[in-house]
Amino acid sequence: MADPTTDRLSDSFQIGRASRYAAPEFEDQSLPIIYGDLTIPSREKAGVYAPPKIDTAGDGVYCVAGHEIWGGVVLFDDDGRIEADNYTLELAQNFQGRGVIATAAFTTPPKGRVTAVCKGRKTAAGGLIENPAGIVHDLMASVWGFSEQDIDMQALARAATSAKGLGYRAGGIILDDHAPADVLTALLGDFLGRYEIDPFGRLKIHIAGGESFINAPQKVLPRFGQSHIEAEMARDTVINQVPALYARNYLGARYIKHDDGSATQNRSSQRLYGVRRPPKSPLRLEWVRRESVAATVQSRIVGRYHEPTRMLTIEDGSLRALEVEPDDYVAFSVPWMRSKKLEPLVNQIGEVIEVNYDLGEQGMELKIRDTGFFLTSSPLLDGTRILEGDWLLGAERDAATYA
Amino acid sequence: MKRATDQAVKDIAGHEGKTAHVLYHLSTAGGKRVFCGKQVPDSLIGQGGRIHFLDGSRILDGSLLLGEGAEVLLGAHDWIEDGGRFSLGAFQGLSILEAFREKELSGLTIAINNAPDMDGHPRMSRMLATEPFVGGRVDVRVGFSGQNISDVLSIASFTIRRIIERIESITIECEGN
Repeated sequence: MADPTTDRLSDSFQIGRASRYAAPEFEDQSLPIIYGDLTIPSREKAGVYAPPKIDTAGDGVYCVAGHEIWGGVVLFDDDGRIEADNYTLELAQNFQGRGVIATAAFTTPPKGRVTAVCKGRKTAAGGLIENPAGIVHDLMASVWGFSEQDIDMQALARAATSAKGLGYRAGGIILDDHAPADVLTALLGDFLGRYEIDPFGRLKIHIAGGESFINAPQKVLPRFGQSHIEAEMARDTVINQVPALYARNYLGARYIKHDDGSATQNRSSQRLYGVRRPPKSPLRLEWVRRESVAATVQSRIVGRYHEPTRMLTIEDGSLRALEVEPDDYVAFSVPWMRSKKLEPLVNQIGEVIEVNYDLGEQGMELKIRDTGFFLTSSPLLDGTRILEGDWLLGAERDAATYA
Repeated sequence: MKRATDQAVKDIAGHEGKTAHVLYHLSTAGGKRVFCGKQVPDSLIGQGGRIHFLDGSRILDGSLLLGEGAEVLLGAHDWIEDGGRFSLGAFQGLSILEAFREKELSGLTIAINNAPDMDGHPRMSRMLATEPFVGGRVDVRVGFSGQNISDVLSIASFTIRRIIERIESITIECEGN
């Protein structure tokens, strides 16, 4: 099947510019695409972006957003916050017959540069679009011109549920021509997510949820008896403190908020491995505006990486089709390795990181991240067992062979 | 670092007729293990800290903190397959000791045999499962047969940054401190 989605995601998307109107101040200024709540964190002296002046007649008309918005508009000039009496706000106006945008028409001229905050695009039902998966859907279907058939809606729904469960709310502005792929990478990356194009040419997004029943293994891998297996643990995989910049200010390409990560650091990990931060520290969370969301992202990174990750590499001299793909959770068995309880590593749950096939050498290489979880046995309470304290119901490792 | 004894200096300068033992002291939050390539006399391993036997020779009058500074020695194992190597560059030092001590060591890689133990389980894999080797410390010491613990010379110290576990052997990669 042809895969037009990949190419189109890499093609540059041309953002609307002020030149489409009769008398703009500067023709090259872009009409901002706004998502989420930019009023957070609260601002007293200036906004976080400069809306373009799209009509110089009279006291001027400014484009608050290049589309209809939810509201929450506050405008600022060189003297600070502008009284709402000084302008007429239209949250959805087909300005000069060139499409619906949000405008502010001044009745008293502002002093110097006008800046703004607002709440961005909304759903058909009128709700503010803040869920990162919701933003991806809206960008794909309403901004970039893709259809619903170009999106794996099940994966999108799962990602939306994960994001909602973790309290993720995104906010940001697109101010320039861009490849959709770049925006998707930046947006999803801020929430520990990613995207791929599936074999049907559809966009498939993932936002990592908690490692719980949601990630029950899709498949039990066969026991790789003759394969070369090795496990690697490296101190460089440890992250126990995550400094972060968030709440971007688009006026000067700066960030309003900084957190050194001390509230979410893991001190016991730091005692063992030293203070270890991400390679590119501080993290720049362009699509995060709230302290609580930044803290969730920081703590999830520390939670996952505060101990060295056991990464298994399995090299198998066959081209067996395992029917797994990156991000799948699988049950695997390497009985000569040991768990923390010194049990043979049987029916351990791992996350597939890579699957590579070497067609020339007829071999396969599989990389799996050990989650530390395992399949548990579930005995029937049918009188065949005596509950005398030597059993942990529901917590015993399942040693059965399934594949 | 403790001072090198005169005997240690003499041994390291020329040790005809004596067997050098290289000891790798791996210290983790779980305790200390000593690895070596061949069986080492107990007199060269010893045990750190102040261990006092309550055999009537001491009066417990508050002047003593029992167990203070003690290290837990979890075991001594002659399982080293490859103890790594480092090279000396141009040497301008004044003493033979500096030939070892003053060099800046960038790294060390050790291979340890992972043969099955008495229960048939790869012995190092059991340790790796329960002891936090990554981030631990490796002290390389040299002692000579016929000497005792005070004559064992500490020549380098490393931090463990990466471990590769295979069924037949374990590779420990360290970086210099």
